[in-house]
This record gives sequence, C-alpha cells and structure tokens, in this order.
Amino acid sequence: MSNDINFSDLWRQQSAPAPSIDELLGKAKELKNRERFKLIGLVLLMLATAGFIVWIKIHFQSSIITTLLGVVLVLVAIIMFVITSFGTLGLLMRKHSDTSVSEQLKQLIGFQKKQEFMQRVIMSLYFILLSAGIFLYMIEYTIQMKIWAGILAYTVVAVWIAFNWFYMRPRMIRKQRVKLEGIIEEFQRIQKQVEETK
Amino acid sequence: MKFEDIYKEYWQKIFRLCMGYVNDHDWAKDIAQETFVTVWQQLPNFRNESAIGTWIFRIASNQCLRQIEKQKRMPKTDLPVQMEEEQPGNQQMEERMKFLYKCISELGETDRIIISLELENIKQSEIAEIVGISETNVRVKIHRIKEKLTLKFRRYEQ
Repeated sequence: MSNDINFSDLWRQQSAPAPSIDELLGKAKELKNRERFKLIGLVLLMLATAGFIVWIKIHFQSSIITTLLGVVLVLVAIIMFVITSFGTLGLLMRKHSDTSVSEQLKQLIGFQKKQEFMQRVIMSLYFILLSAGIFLYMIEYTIQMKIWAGILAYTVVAVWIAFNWFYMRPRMIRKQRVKLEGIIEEFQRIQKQVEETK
Repeated sequence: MKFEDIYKEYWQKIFRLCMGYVNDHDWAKDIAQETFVTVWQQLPNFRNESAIGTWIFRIASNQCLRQIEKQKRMPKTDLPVQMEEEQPGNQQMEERMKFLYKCISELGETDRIIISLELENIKQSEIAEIVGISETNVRVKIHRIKEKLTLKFRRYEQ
C-alpha cells in the first residue's frame, strides 16, 4: 500500500480563531472565584447550622446528659460532612493535569472510586449520627410531655427518618452510583487501550 | 515563557488536537479554552522537567479524556459545520481535511491523541512521554493508524 497521502498537510488545514486573551483570562478568573465562593458558602452554611445548635444548647439549659450528647452527635455529623467535603474539593483541586495519559487515567479512576465510596459510606454515617443525635436530643423534652404526646413526637420523627433512610438515601446513592460507574467504566476501557500497547 | 506567547504559539495546535478528538468545532474550542485556563493556573508551578510543549500537550490530552466526566455532550462523528465561505479550488482539500478529522475521531481515544500529536510533528519520544507508553509502541501504533487511515482514504476516493 502506498503511503503518499500527506496527512500532516491536511491536518494543518484546520484552524479556529483564537479567542482574545482577555476573554480567556476573564473566564479563568471567574472559574477560580466561583470555586472559592462555593467552598466559602458551604463552610458558612455548616458553621451557621452548628452555631445555631450551640445557641439552642446555651439558650435552653438542659439537665440530662442525653441532650448534650444529642447536640454533640449532630455537631460531629456536621463537622464530618464539612471535612469530607473539604477532602473532596481538595482532591479536585490537587488533580494533576500534567501527568502522562496513562497516569492520568489511573488517577481519574482512583478519584471516581474514592468519590463513590465517600458518597456511599459517608452519607450513611452522616445520616446515622444525625438521626441518633436528634433522638437523644428529644429525650429531655419528651419525658416532660404526656406519654401519648411523647410517643407521637417520636413516631413522627422516626417516620421522617425512615423515609429518608429507606427511600431518599438509597435513591440518591443509586443515582450517583450509576453516573460514577458509567464514568469509571469508560476510563477503564481507555486504560485497556493503553495497557494493550504497553 | 510568558503565557501570552504560549497562547499565541500553541492555540491552533491544541485546537487541532481537541478537534481530532471530538470532531466538533465548538466543543473542541471549549476543550482548548479549558486547556489554556489550566495552563494559566499551573504555569507558576511549571518546573522545566519536560519541554513546555510536552507539558501543554499533556494537559490538553488529559482535558480531552476528562470529557467523559461531562456526559452531556456525546462525541459527534458527523462532518463539522464550517461557517466560512469556501473557495471552489479549495473545496476538495477542505472535504479531504474534514474526512481526515472524521476518521481520526472514530479511532480509539488513545489512538486519536497519538495520531494527532504525530500529525502535529511532535517527536515520537515526546509522544511516548505524553501518553505514557514506550517509544517503540508509539512507532508501532502510528504505523498501524496511518495504515488504517490510508485504507479509509483509498475507499473514500474511489
């Protein structure tokens, strides 16, 4: 077979006008700011929630340990959420985009798997801590109620938690997993291409 | 090296690499822009461990791969729509060029990157460094891809 087609020449026929450098840098800076705002917003939201719980604790003096324990559990859940979010974002930022393609694929697969794990485990843990915290926190106030009112209060909260745990949580996890697994599979398929030639 | 100079020197090359990967004018432009945003962000950390070109092409190749994460857009293999007026004499050349990009975008992902870099006249040792495979394998791959492309062109032109 003759190889006389000059692919390089054909290749170089393609061109696109370069966007102005100001436009590009504007976009870059906007992206950076958006990431920063998102991060700050997330932290502020969490801190405000935590602050609110502390305020409740101080404002409504309690006599039993379970109330404090409940508050602590909820706080732990929130702090854990903040830290893991930071972890994920940190990972996102530290993505090394200048590695070789084969190295990059390994990193991307690792990152997606980590993400999948985090979404599954951390979300469940967050929910358990939060629910346990709310249950404990409620004890002090429910024992002061009439028994039927206490039972009703716990039933309502239990139903709400059960709905979230058995319906919302698996649904969210499944949705995220389908998306992530699709991405992982694609990356693994490309990785195979690289490995076949190694 | 100043970012402005890099941008001027590499825009078209990076755009072509992206175009070979997705064969969609607007999409390729987006990826090229994302690449230069990353280059701008990471330029202060660039330590001359590799040639600047190798470094930039690595970022661009990885940016192409990451398109999988954004699944909204699916790779198109249609002929790209060109807005510019075509001169009659160039029409055949233009058609062949479009066909080349179409063929390349139909290859496996890594093959697309390898052949795009080769057609951009990047040294095979550098391609090996960018992709992370041995130079011998780069050579073999390029040979096979060119053979495939030639075959497709022969059929196309018959």
